[in-house]
Amino acid sequence: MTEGMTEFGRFAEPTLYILVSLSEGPKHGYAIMTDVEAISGAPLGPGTLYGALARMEKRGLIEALEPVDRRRPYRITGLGATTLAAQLQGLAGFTRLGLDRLRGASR
Amino acid sequence: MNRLVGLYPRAWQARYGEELQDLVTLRSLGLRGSIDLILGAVDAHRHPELVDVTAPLPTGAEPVSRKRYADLLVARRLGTASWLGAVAWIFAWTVAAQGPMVGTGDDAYRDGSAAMPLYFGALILLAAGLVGQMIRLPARARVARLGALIGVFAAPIWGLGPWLIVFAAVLFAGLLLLALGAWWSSEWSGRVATAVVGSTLIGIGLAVASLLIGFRGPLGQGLLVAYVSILTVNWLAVGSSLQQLPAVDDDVPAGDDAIVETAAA
Repeated sequence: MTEGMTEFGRFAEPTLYILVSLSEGPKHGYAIMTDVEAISGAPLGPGTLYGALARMEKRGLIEALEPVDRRRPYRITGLGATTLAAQLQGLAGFTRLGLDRLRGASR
Repeated sequence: MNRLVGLYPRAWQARYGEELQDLVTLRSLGLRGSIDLILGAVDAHRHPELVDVTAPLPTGAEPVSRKRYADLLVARRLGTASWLGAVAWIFAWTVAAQGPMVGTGDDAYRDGSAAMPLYFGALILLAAGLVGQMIRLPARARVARLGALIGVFAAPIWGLGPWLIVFAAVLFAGLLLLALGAWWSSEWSGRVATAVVGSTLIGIGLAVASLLIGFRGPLGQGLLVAYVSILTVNWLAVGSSLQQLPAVDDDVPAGDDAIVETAAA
């Protein structure tokens, strides 16, 4: 599901959620955390969030903006958007395949 | 400051500490969040390369106040004393090994009492180095400072006689706490901490083996020599981690050691 992000290890899934969250605009840590929790329906711990953010920043998927009131917003980069698009297309293909097989089995 | 954020390496704290702090202030962590933060700190220690090297990191090269500099200078001298302690330690055991044989047959033993002043001096000088560590280590490095404090008391007492092995055990425990705590708080490099932890653990193993064999024969003597040699690393490591001095800046407020601390040795 997240083959392109195997180097992220256990941070691969949170990374995908964070990229989706940032795709609508820059957000700071707390806003990312609450948004990801709303999207995924599962809590995102601060250690996991910043472990993922550090990896994403290091690999150029996101960039940090100037802090506003102690809060530093993050913005998705071009590489991050491309990576997210590839991941989502892979997921869409996987979804189509699964649905097709389900329909085939029910006939 | 949330204490768990303090578990992160200093470089991480410099880059992400304020954000993390803001996050944990906005929302109660709970048990699950606390465990997640601890695991995050472990991961951060395992992957220091993830932090942006252009971020302004506090290092030993950063200027300190004159008062702090004077304190670090004292710590450095105590570190040099610890190095002298390493010499005294080796000399003490060398002198003890040359002592006259007393008694006959199975009851015969080597009288090493002539080495006692050197032996005591070596451990006093190690305690001096540990006092230097307490001066240099920041308040947040609590575990490391506790380890140094334990060593400050245990070392001189063990110096009263090598047979006081309970105090040797306490000293070794203190050294392990110092090394692990200083490494965890990024005050010591992994190399220095590994040297102290490794030499202490190997030293304990060699001491136990020597006690079981009874210091007799070539094997017992060899184990004793290895024990003395490897423990010398502790004096050297404690001393070397106190040698680096930062520059002085009169604009840095005195007593502000929360901002400028020591570099990884």
